[in-house]
Amino acid sequence: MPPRIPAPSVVSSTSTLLQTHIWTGASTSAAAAGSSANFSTTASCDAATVARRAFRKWLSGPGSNYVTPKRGGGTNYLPQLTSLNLPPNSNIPFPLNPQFRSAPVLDDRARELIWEKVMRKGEPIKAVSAELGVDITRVAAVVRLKEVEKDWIAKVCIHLSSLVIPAFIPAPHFLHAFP
Amino acid sequence: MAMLPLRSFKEDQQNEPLEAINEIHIHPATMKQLYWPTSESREFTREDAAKAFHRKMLSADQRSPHPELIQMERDMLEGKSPGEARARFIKAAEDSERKAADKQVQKALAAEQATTRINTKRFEFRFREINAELVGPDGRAINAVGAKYGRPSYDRAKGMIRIPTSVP
Repeated sequence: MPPRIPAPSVVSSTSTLLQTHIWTGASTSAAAAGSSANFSTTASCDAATVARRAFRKWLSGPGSNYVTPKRGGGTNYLPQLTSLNLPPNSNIPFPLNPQFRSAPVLDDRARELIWEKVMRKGEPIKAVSAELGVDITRVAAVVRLKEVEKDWIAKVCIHLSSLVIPAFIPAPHFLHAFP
Repeated sequence: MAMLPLRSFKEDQQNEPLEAINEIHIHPATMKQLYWPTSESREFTREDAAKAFHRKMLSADQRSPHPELIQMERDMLEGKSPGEARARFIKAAEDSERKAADKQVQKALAAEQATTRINTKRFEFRFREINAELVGPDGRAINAVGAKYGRPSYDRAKGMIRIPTSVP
């Protein structure tokens, strides 16, 4: 549906929804809005404020990096104030607080590895913790949550290959379905 | 998840540790400033410091979550080979975990032996022997049987369901 751009005479102070589509800071719409309102004496303010216009400009310029997540994953933090060239996958999320470092999170392969070591190979949790350098409580939490995940995959998810001819789908592929 | 800094492990290689594993919580009883008189000839150890804070306080060495790892490092300092020290560490870890699991199992068994179960068609009644005399030194033992003054009784608490919610 094409965006509705009404003529200035039609615009009234109550139709703020229509006004957000108008990004020009023209005063004509404001004047028209003020004169057509019957109950208010103050003119309605323009929706296209200076801040919003500046944001739009930034979004099409340096901010275009932040519209969608980075391809291939990795952190997408703002560049630091002191150095202009930011190394990829940095761990400093707040430019004004460079001492704050975001802590790394275990990825799925790492969690799977921990679960395998504890449940399949039967290694003691203290040994797994010491070998990988992961806290004991974190190892236990990973094992518990992985058990829940596998339980759900077995009981809740419907394997696509049971519904469709297997030759057409890449394996493994799960369809999540909740009863 | 991919927008966070992720960390992966290489299975058969030496891995960088993710975090410090031998951390212990700071006990509030150890945060007090003490003026503890002690003789200069005496070596004041961590054990003595723990006892100074509280008579039942354990020292940092005893509160460590990885005592077997500390023992492994001690073995290596004494001159044992890394392979042997590692084998002893794994055995010690296995033993401690098996002991903890056995203790849990024993506790559950003991509780089960103390309970008499009587099954009727609709309910399963569970009976335990109690002794109303066991109230602790001041009469306020937390596990004592009976009403406790100074502690709220939930008899008239709103929203608590006191009737059976399902037909077995």
